[in-house]
Amino acid sequence: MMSDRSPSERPDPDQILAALNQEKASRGKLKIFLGYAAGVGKTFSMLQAAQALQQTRESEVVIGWVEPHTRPETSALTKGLEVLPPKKIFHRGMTLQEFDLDACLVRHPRVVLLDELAHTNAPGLRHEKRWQDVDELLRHGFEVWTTLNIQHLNSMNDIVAKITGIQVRETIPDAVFDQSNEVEVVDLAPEELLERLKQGKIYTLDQAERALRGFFRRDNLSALREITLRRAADRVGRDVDSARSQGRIDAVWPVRERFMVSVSPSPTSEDLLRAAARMAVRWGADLLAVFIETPRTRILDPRSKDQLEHNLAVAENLGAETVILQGEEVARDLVAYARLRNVTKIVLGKNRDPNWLRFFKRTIGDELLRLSGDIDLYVIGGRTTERSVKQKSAGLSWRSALWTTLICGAFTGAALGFRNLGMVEANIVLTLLLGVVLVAGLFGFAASIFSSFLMVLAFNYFFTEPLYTFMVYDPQYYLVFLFLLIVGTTIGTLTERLKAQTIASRIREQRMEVLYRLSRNLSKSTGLEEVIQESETMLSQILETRVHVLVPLEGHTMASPWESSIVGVPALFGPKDIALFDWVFRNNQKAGWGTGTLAQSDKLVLPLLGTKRNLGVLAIERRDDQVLRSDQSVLAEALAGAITLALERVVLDQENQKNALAVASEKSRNALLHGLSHDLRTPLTVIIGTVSALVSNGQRLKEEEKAALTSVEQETRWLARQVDNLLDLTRLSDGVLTPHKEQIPAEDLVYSALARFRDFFSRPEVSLHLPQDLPLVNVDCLLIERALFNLLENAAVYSHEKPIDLVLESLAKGVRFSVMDRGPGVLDTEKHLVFHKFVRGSASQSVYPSRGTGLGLAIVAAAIELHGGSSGVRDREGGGAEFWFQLPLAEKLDSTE
Amino acid sequence: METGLILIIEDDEPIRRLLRAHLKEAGWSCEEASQGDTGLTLVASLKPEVILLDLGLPDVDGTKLIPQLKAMTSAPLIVISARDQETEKVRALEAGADDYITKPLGLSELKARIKASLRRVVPFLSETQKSFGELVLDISARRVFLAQKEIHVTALEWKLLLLMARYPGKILTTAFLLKEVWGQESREQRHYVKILMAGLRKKLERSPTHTEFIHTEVGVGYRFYD
Repeated sequence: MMSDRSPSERPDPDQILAALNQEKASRGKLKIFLGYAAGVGKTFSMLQAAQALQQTRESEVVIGWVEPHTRPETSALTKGLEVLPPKKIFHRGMTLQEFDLDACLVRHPRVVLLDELAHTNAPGLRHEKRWQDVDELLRHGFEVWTTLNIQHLNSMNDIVAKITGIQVRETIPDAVFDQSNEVEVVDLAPEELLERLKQGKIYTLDQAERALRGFFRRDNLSALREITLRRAADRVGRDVDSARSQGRIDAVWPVRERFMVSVSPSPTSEDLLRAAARMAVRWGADLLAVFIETPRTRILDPRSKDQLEHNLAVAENLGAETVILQGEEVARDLVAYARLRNVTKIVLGKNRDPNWLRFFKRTIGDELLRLSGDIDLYVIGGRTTERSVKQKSAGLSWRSALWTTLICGAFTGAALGFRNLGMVEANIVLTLLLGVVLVAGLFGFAASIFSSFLMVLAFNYFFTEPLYTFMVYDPQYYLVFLFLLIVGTTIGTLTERLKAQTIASRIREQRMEVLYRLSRNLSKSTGLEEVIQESETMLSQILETRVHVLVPLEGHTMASPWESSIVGVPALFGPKDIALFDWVFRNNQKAGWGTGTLAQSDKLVLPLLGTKRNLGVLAIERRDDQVLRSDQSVLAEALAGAITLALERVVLDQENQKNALAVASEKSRNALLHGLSHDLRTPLTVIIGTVSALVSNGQRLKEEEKAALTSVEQETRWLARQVDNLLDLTRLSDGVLTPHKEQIPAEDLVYSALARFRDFFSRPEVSLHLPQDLPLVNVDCLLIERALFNLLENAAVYSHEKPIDLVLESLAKGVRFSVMDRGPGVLDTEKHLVFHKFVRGSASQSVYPSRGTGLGLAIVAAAIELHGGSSGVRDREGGGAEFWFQLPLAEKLDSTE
Repeated sequence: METGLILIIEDDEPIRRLLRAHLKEAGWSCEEASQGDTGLTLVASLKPEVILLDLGLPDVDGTKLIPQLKAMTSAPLIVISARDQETEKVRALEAGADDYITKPLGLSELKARIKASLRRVVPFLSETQKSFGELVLDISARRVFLAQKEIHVTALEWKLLLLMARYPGKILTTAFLLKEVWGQESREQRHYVKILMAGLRKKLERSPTHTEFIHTEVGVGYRFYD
């Protein structure tokens, strides 16, 4: 499978995917200032860099949180930088100050400074850890600068603990560090650091005294420094690798390494995971942490179960992809999965079974060695504090002990009967053995051993010379005892295993059944409501708790209100729940109970991620008694997948129906408008044409007749324009008009509008004010030209032949067109109304009681809005009105030559 | 007085009547077709000098008729369009129409368009000078004068100006200008034309409110010295 793969021919799909992910331009940059101990000057360096940036780009750097330092040099560097006010948290009578994530999102700076990446937030905040805050900021596209000490890096945690003897509890996942865009190592020679410590620059003097004896020993510091530099170098190496593999597309694709490590319920598994994670980082490889759930491990004692959960969590934290598989034989299934996922190296721990046991039992390592073929195996030593994993065996209950005794008694009785009938001894032994077999089959391992002993005693007492004593003359009988015991325990063990397998396959069957039933029922349900209701009912049964499926109400891409099959959602969920749903929905990540985000909630909320967008959320209520086991949460996620599919299908159906309807109605409306405009225009064209011909050839006409005809022509032209306006506005306000945008110099629009204006109005004069270097605008030229014409027309009608000024201004974000007249102006109370359909200013009514449909300005507003611009009116200095609109700029384009 | 035969392909009887009355008065003779297919037969049999084509015909899409008409005759074809057919206007020009006029019709405008379209394009390579009002192009010397004063133009502006001067009064689409001056046809580069035109206009036009030489037909193209 692996051997026929030729790395030079095929680009690794994972690599392409990784490159794609890296190109996600929307994600913000993360810069980490990395140090090997407190006091090397990370915060100082970060602030210094921020000051430098501030010099070049103004007011873009905001301090989200910097630990209050007593060092005057450091606090001096915060001067001139905007500091976000901290959030105050009241916790157990104390006031804690924390970074205010929401305020930061609102403030929307380009660069955020956040000290101490590994910080643990006060309870009650959205995220448990600061690195999660940082992650959210990055997802919103902010650039984040932060500081980190090496011992807080998860994979380094145990090494640092070994060196210094101090275990640090606050850690960050390695993925955060490795996916950062830039790491700046802040380095200081240990001698200097110690000097600074002694001078009290890092801690107060008595704190420093303690520190010098513990963490801050010279050998410690040198070791930490080396680790830091090496880890940073590893990361730089990965950057170079990824750049290299992206740069050369047809050159040889280096095969990306993928490591696999088997997770077990043993505490040593954790060390193994860390070691594997470090190896993976050094190799620039992905890490898979796989737990094979076998019939044996499915019935673990609670302590091992907890340890397994812990180990899986550690794996996830180390950036490994964790996988739980159902299987029978660990080694075989591991190798099969490894081949499926193109794993190149498997990491396993050293076996600690005594040698005599290894002689009987093939270990997983042995099996892997036999099966792995071209996959490399790495065996790693671990801590010696091995605690053997105990399998929970069905203990001997009083009931089964009683039954065992009864059965043994009955068979002994039968054997006594047989002896009295004169049967040979072999039959007697077989009868007793039958009893043991029966007990073993019925009550399992413990009972079978118990019964073996009982039968040995019975045989000894009743059937061996001397009879009715526990003494034995013939040593042969010892052999019989031994056989009895062996047969009993063997059958007991087999029965036990069989039972376990039955239970396991029943659980698996149930899960499959559940998934199958859910998908079948969901595929039958047609409406959104039906899908939601069905999912909720089924999931509530499976997970034995209340489950809610929530989709945002139509028209809401996020935020409440939410729709659920349960009536009265708001009554059921508090504002905190709603906030949780919103967060999950927006961030596409699970949150709530049992996760690192908003963990104090009593619900676990999973996003329902469709192929194109997020469709809703799945909320699982906490049960009082226990946590959601990992197998259940796996099941929940699988079910969420099935629900998402069904939801997507329903939503897509609805959208298709809606689209089809919209297209149909748009077609008929367009046909109607087209016919209407044709029918109205034809007579107008004829009237205008005829009248203008009469006027221009009218040498024979009297002056009054000529004047009357001219007036007819003008009025008809006005009428024709109003018809155009009406049709334009209908199309604009229907929203059926898609603008045909083009790059065009702003003055082109002006010239065209002025030329058309001149066709209709010989007066008033228009003075044009064009600045030099007007930029291009990206607009539907016809719509904007019409808008400009309408403003000119409006000004001409109200200005009483006083000159009009047309002013263009080039602004930072767009081009502003203003038409200024010396007319009566617009009352303040009417300023916001004049752009509405059929609204005319009261001034206009006094001037032209019969003129004006109030359409022209409405077209302006609608056309500008369609372009994402703005329009308005204000008083002109010295009387009159200034009508204006503003258009966004076109994107920068290459020049003409 | 003008002479020659004009074919009007238009389905509205009142408009046909108006056009007929007017054009006849100016000296042209007129033939009429109310449908696309009769229009095609008449073109074949009558060989008109000019064709006026309404885009909103009952039997056939006017834009589709243009290539067929142009295949039969080299006579100029002027499209009559309504204001809500503005995108069709461009398509009509791209399909081969020589010009267009928008309803409601200005009759003097129509006459000017017809005359402009009848002015056959003369390749003035032999000519040394060409004048448009006060604008003089000295072709051999590659110099431009406006009211006796020389105006400096760049090589590209000269190319554009010379091209437009060959088609006075005719609508020239942005796509056409782009192709002729830059040899490119990409829609994304149409702003090249517009930027160059804006620069040229700054040099040639004396009054911003009354353009003399370069007239913008928004959304379609430019017209030179109309």
